[in-house]
Amino acid sequence: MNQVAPRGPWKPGVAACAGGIAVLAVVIGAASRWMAFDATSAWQGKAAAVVAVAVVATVLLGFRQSLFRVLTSLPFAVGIVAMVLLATALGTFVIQGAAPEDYAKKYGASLGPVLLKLGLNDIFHSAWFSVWLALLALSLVLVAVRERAWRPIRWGHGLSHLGVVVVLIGGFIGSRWGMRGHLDLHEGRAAEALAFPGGAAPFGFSLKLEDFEIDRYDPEYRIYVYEEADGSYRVLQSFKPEAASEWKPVGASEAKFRVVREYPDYHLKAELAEVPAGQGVPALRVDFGGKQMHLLAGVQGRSTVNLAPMDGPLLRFVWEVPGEAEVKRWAESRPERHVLSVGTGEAAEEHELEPGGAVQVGGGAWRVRVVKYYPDFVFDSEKKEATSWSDRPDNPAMQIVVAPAAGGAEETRWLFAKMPEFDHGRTHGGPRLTYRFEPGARPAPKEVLVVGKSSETWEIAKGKVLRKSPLAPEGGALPGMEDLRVRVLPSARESFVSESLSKEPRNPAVEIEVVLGGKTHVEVLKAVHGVPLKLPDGKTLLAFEAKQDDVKAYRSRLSVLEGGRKVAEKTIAVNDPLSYGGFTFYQSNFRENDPTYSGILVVKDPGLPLVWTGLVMMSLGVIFVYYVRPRLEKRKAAVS
Amino acid sequence: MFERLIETHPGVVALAALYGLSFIVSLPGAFRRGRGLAWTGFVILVAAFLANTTVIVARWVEAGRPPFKTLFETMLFYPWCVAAVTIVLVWLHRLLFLVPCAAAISVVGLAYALLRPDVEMVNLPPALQSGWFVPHVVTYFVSYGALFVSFVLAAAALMAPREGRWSSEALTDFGHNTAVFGVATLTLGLVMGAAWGKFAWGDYWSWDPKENWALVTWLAYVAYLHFRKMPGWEGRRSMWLLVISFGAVVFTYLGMNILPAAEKSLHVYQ
Repeated sequence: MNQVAPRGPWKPGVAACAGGIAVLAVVIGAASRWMAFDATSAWQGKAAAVVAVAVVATVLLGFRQSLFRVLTSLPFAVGIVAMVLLATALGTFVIQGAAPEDYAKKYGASLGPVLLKLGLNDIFHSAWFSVWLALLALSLVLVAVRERAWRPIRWGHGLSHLGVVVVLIGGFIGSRWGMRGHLDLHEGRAAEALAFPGGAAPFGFSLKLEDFEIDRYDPEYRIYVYEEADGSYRVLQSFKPEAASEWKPVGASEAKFRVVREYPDYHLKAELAEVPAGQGVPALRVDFGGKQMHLLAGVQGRSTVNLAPMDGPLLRFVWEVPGEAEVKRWAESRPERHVLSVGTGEAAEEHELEPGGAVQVGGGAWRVRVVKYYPDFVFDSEKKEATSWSDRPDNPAMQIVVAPAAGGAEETRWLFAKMPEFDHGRTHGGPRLTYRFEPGARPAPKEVLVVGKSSETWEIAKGKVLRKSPLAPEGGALPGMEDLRVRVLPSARESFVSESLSKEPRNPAVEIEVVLGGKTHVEVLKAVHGVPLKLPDGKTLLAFEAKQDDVKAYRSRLSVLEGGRKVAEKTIAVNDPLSYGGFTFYQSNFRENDPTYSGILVVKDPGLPLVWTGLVMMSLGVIFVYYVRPRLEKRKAAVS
Repeated sequence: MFERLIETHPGVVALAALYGLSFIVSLPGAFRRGRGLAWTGFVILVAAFLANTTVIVARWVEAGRPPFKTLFETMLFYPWCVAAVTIVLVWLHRLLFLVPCAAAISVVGLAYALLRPDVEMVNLPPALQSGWFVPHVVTYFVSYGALFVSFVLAAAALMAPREGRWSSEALTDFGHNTAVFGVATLTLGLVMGAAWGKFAWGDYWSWDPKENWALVTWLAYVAYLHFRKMPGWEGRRSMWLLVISFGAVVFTYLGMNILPAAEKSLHVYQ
């Protein structure tokens, strides 16, 4: 007769275990969904749950021996670990905890609702995941019992496995009876409780923010090379000015640059020099309180200055005696104008531009459309985009597109009113465009006009000439203003000299030489209110900016008060919290524009000691199993 | 572009070249019984390891802080860890064929780093200014280094003959022991991460994608350890598991950028 080897008690394979675990999740998921579904029948739900638990418990007790075998089997261990692994991985591919509408948006109209229905939007807090963890803990405990982990030879096994159980229990206690919240504190204010929707948890003491401070890294200014792609800018290179005095390449382009000079406190000094008649323009040198400036007759935007901040009038300089009509026109209020000059010299045209409008230029050959108008242009290095510092037209700039009127490729360009000679980004063949900004005018209540040719000053109010006085050729004070002296220069030339007013980094700038297309240009890049240099390729920018950095540190000095009396004090910082009365207070965040604000995270976690214990147990257990035990066994073998 | 790299990161380029040299020199002889050139390749690897140490120390000094914040910086550290584990194993067990593998992954890693180098040395944000920073990162990367070597050993075990000096069985043993060291350090790294998280952010575990994938990696190797105890699994099957599980290590280290859920995580490299 054939001998059939006795088959041992049935043991499921890995697939069977994993499958069973998955089925369990589905059942629990469905059950919890059903129980949550109808709120009015809460007692029915509870009753059904109790009955279900009772039935299941009876069944399990009936099969307790098989159950013990299964739960302590290796296939089950691997199965539950694999399922938890898959659920965790799934929880990284499916966004957790987002608003329900986001799922249809992100995963499509068909997949989105399915994910929500299956509860995959909050895996880690769902009932079935918790049941899986409980099952894992149960099997770990049972296995420790089966292996008699209290025996020294099995301590490694016991520590590593029970350590996980202890961590899970600690985690459970923490999530069930713990709490976390956030405090918005300002210097001098105190909080007595943790507020959350639906209530508050009192601390039992008062927590006062005495002082909050931020440490910052010293500001550092660097030269950055950006590459533009789809409206956003990517940093290609970053240079310290001192390191860039040798020729450096600019990105992947053919251009190269080097720093010639650094200006910590950059100032463009305008100097006026007298030149022979006919070679210059009439100018007025104005001295007031030690400062000096000058006006140029007939030059747009340079012939008037508003001295009102110094209790002065509007000072205007002209060479020839104005007519009555002109004096009247000064008294009119005028809106600001954006003027586009096309071409140069004889063929120059002038068109009025509206922000958001378009115009045909060059005798109708080209179409220019304004994309965006920036009254006070600055390049935001954080967001890597152009933006306007304010609404005042202090640095008017326009982003335009130019295209042949008959159709063709559009070219994006930038026009800067304060840098009319800026022609980078201009490709050959397109029209030469210059942008001139005429500020609007509101008539000043008091005006002093200096007429250069006849050397006299007129006092004007409301468009009417009140009084005329002579002005000495070597200059004199304005009527009624002894500390304001003017001098007429019939023919003068203006030159600009870059200088640094001090060694303090109040207005950092660098002067660079940049080689573009074989030609060397000299440019000054300013860190504040600066305009980046755009290369002819249209997408590479060179800029000088403050390095973006996190803050160095921030901390809050907290004091704990009980009954009005200070019982404890600590300065907390990130990575250094305060623990008192069962609560732990963490330095969480700050607000850039509110220096007295401190964001404090509050946590109460009764399960924490267990979690630490469990983690230590796990670490010791792993080391014991693989490094201590083999040595013990070797010693045993050597002895016997 | 190559000239640009030499100008901006000469040390790293030289280091990659040194690892590359080790690879070229050691490859022909490594899979035979240790020809002379294979040992030369090993010596070059040791030189590369020392050069790697210099690069890291130099960056530490220049930045004024441990150089482990960005992807670029950690990718300068990873070859160091792989080389360290390789050097130990070659010294103890003469596993010379590990040399070209370690050199190869180091060249690949450094090349990847040079493709996305740090434009400037960023300062450490307050959250990373902690005594836990160095131990946590170093432990993890040593673990990653060991797990890479266990990956190579497992692949070798799958391709090796049944008998011989480096038989499938012998390599399986080495692979397993290396993996065990990797798991032990992985566990310590995970525990340190939880401890640090508690002090910094008030939470030892927040189910954020990076933490989750660290857990997935840990669970994968735990599953490997338990699979091995099942009948029929001590051999080739467990080696396949080692090979597959290394994918989790790679994804945990480098894959966070492709996860939609990870954008806001504190763990993501910018």
